[in-house]
Amino acid sequence: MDLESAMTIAAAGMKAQSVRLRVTAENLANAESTASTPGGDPFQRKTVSFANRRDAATGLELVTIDRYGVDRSPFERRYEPGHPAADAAGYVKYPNVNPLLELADMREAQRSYEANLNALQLARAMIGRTLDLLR
Amino acid sequence: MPTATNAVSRAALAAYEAATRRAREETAAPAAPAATPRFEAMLRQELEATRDALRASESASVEALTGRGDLQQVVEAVTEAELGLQKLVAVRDRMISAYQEIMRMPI
Amino acid sequence: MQPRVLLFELMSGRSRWLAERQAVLSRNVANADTPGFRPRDLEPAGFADLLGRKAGGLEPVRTSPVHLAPAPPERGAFRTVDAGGAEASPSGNAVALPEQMQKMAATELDHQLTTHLYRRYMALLRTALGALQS
Repeated sequence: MDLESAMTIAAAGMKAQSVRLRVTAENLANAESTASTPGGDPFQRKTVSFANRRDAATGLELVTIDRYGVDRSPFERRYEPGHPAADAAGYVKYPNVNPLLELADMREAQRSYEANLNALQLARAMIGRTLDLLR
Repeated sequence: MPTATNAVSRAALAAYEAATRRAREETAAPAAPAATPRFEAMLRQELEATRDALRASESASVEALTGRGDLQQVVEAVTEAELGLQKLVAVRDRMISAYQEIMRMPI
Repeated sequence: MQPRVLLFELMSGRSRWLAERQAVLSRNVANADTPGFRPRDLEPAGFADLLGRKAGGLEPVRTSPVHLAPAPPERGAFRTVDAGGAEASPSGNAVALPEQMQKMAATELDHQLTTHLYRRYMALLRTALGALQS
């Protein structure tokens, strides 16, 4: 593995963290999205998991999205009889999203993204410095 | 272990010795005989000092490259070796041009 | 036969080691959230490791240090070791980002040192060789 590999690996890391950021942002944006029909299910929290797999094109092990999933924890139920999505008993199902957790996850994803970016920049700096020797 | 820098300094020493010997032979009579050996001795001393500085620089660099070694030491050793070599080259260039001037003198 | 210039061989080996280390560290950072992933690092390379090479075939002889070096014979990769601590996340991931960033910074500085040394010794050689011409 060399510096070019380092750049490829870091770029894959950035891509993966971007996906994670997007998913977390979507969860946050839909934290209060209920169904439109009575008794219907609201927005269900989405999850994403990573895996380190060999990429055929480059021959390197790159981090990638293992799968997209949904969080199966129960929905929150609030008593709102006047709500369009209220069921017969007057309860509305709300998404199983905790905004605080999503925010924390977003911060982590951002931090990891920046760490990967830093790795990319360092590898590029090292290549650049070697090239400079030719000047 | 022989290195290019050591081989070069040895070759340089040989070249200087040859140059001084010929300069002395050509201008034997007018030059003060007592002064010339002292000059050669001084030159040899300079060469050896530079060679030592180059060796020190090399070993400090090897230390740094194998993960040990003090950065400050490397900086000092390399700088000193570089300065020593440049000084030597300056002296040598002056000597060669003086020799050439002497050679151009009509008999 | 002209002996190989030790110092330049070391610098070349060191450069290679640092490049590979950077790739290993990048891999760690990219997998900071991969379940079960444990970070790795290169074993510190000593004198012999930096110069190490597989038994090679014939190589053209360099009669002067300023001649371009022939492409080096196939060299093996450096050894990696598990560098994860005892602490791991619930998913089994053992990567600590601050540690990885610190190692990367050290690698970068080492690379600067190696490259600068290379420049200086090349300049030294040119100065010395200049003295032999004319």
